[in-house]
Amino acid sequence: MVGSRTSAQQRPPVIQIQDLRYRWQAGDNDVIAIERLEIATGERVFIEGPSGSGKTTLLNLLAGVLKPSAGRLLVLGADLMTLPGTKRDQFRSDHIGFVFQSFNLLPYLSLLENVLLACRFSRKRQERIAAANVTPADEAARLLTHLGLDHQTLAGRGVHQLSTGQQQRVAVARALIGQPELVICDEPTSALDADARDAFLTLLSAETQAAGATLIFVSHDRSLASGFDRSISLNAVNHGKGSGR
Amino acid sequence: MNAPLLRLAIKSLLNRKTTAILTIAAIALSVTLLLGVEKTRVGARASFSNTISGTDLIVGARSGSIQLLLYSVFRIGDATNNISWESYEDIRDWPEVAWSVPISLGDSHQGFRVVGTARDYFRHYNYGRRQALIFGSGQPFEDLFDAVIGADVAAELGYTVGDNIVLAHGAGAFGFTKHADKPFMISGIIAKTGTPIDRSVHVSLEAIEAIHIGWQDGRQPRPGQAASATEARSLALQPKAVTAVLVGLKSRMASFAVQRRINTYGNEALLAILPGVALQQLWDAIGGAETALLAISIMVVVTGFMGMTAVSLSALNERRREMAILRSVGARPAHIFLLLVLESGVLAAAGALAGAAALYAALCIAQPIIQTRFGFYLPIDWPILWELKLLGLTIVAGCISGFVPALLAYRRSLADGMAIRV
Repeated sequence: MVGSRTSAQQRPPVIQIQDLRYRWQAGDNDVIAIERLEIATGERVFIEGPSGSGKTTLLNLLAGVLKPSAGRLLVLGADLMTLPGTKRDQFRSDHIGFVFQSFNLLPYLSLLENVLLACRFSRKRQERIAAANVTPADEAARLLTHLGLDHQTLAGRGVHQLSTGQQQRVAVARALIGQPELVICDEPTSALDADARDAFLTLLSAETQAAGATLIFVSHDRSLASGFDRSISLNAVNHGKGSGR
Repeated sequence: MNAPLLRLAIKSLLNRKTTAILTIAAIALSVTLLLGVEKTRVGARASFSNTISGTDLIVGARSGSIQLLLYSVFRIGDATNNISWESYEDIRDWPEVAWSVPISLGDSHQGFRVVGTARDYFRHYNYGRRQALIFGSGQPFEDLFDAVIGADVAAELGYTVGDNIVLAHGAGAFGFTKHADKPFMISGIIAKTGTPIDRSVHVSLEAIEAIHIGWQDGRQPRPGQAASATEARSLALQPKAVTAVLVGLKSRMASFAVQRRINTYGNEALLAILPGVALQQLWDAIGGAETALLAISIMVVVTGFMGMTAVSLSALNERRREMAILRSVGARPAHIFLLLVLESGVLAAAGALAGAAALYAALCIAQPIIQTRFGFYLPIDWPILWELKLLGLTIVAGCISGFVPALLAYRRSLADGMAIRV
């Protein structure tokens, strides 16, 4: 584990944070105040933090939904401090896959359409799929099969008829389609039982690695940290007060 | 980027089918009302101005000009008084008068008004853009007991030339007393005109006299006073009075002078109207009501959209997760805004189209009823430009009312980001 960490850090960082600060309004206390944090390409990082520690805020910052109040935040070398909002949205759709805690899927889209949703807003993802000489639908089907979902049998069913574990795996397929460099998971296993959780973690790890993506996994559950290259305690690095929400 | 968003909007709406269908139904109803009012207005106006042309003056007993127009042209209501035959003959012989056609009203056949008139009627009565009456089959009345019927009378009662009919006294849908002793034979059927002519039965003035021989003050003749059909032929059938006279002048320039002369006629209280002016007056009288009706139907459309906005707003809370998911895959707040505007636009467009379809369906059903009850012929045409504009405006208004939930969702998605607070 130590070895992989060293080798990972020799590659250029996916995320570089220096004196990053975020507050909801000027005059408020900092929610996020991180002096220094780097995550290297290909690394699989576990960020642990109890609720209210500013996890969600940090993820929104990394994903470019929120704009930092001060400091330096580079994601894949792009300065999210200076990118305007629409560019940050474009950046997110091109380079970041996202998996939520639960209910990741739009109920009115089919399994395949939910996966393809990630390509809808990103030409880069479409181009990467085209470069591999496959159609987006084929690629989505391939990912679903890899994740243990037979989309042809499941296709007829509404998304809401899938089990929570299946839904989470569809969300992973959506995050991975078109090979984004970074995959961020926000408590993706908290709605799963122990067996499903372990199976999900193994799949997630294998698939992100196969796709060559960096994985950031956020959870309050410290016991999940063992399968990752590195574990960061948010309370230790964040000197802000957290969201307090 | 709009086409995928439109597809998302439609799929999202389909996911909420019940509310979507109810919203569309509400909008459709309001659009039907709006277009219906508009179509009736346009149709009624066209029907009005097309009813009579080429006639310079209509002369009747002194009453209101609109009343005279209604009973002499539209066959609505009744005359309160008649014109004596002597006055008619006098006016007929004035040098300015090119032609004159007396008409005599008061009888009916199966709810259709009977018009007693002269053969000249078929030559001089024009409608639309100076179109003359054309016989679809048969010819004008020749014999005393010949009748000429309009196209609708023939179609609705299944009459053909040569059929016999019995006239009824009075003008109700069911005549109380019938002139059963003097049946008429249909000599001709006038081709469809889209005017009240279609719903009229025409007989000669002499025939009107003949069927009323022995009648007194609208009561049937006492036994012994009636004359048989054959006897009637040998009697003098010069009418003593007519209900109204259609007058054509040698020069239209003389219209006002002749009108004044008739209105100040010494021997009898008469009224002459210029059909065009009276039509305009009638239009003005009911036009105001129709403007109010139009305003009300616009209000109904607005109410429909307010309902849609309320539904959309109340669903917004449940849809925060949907918005967060879309944001996570790279949708901008502007996309969220557009998505909600498109949803409203789709609902409005579906409502407008369904409303227009419902209107045409309703028109097909209501057209004959309107014509029977009011004498207006509502043409079922393709929507005219103005109606298309109204439909377009409705859809635009729908999109604009979608701005309210869209703006709220936009601001929320800026604040919430991908955080799902449910």
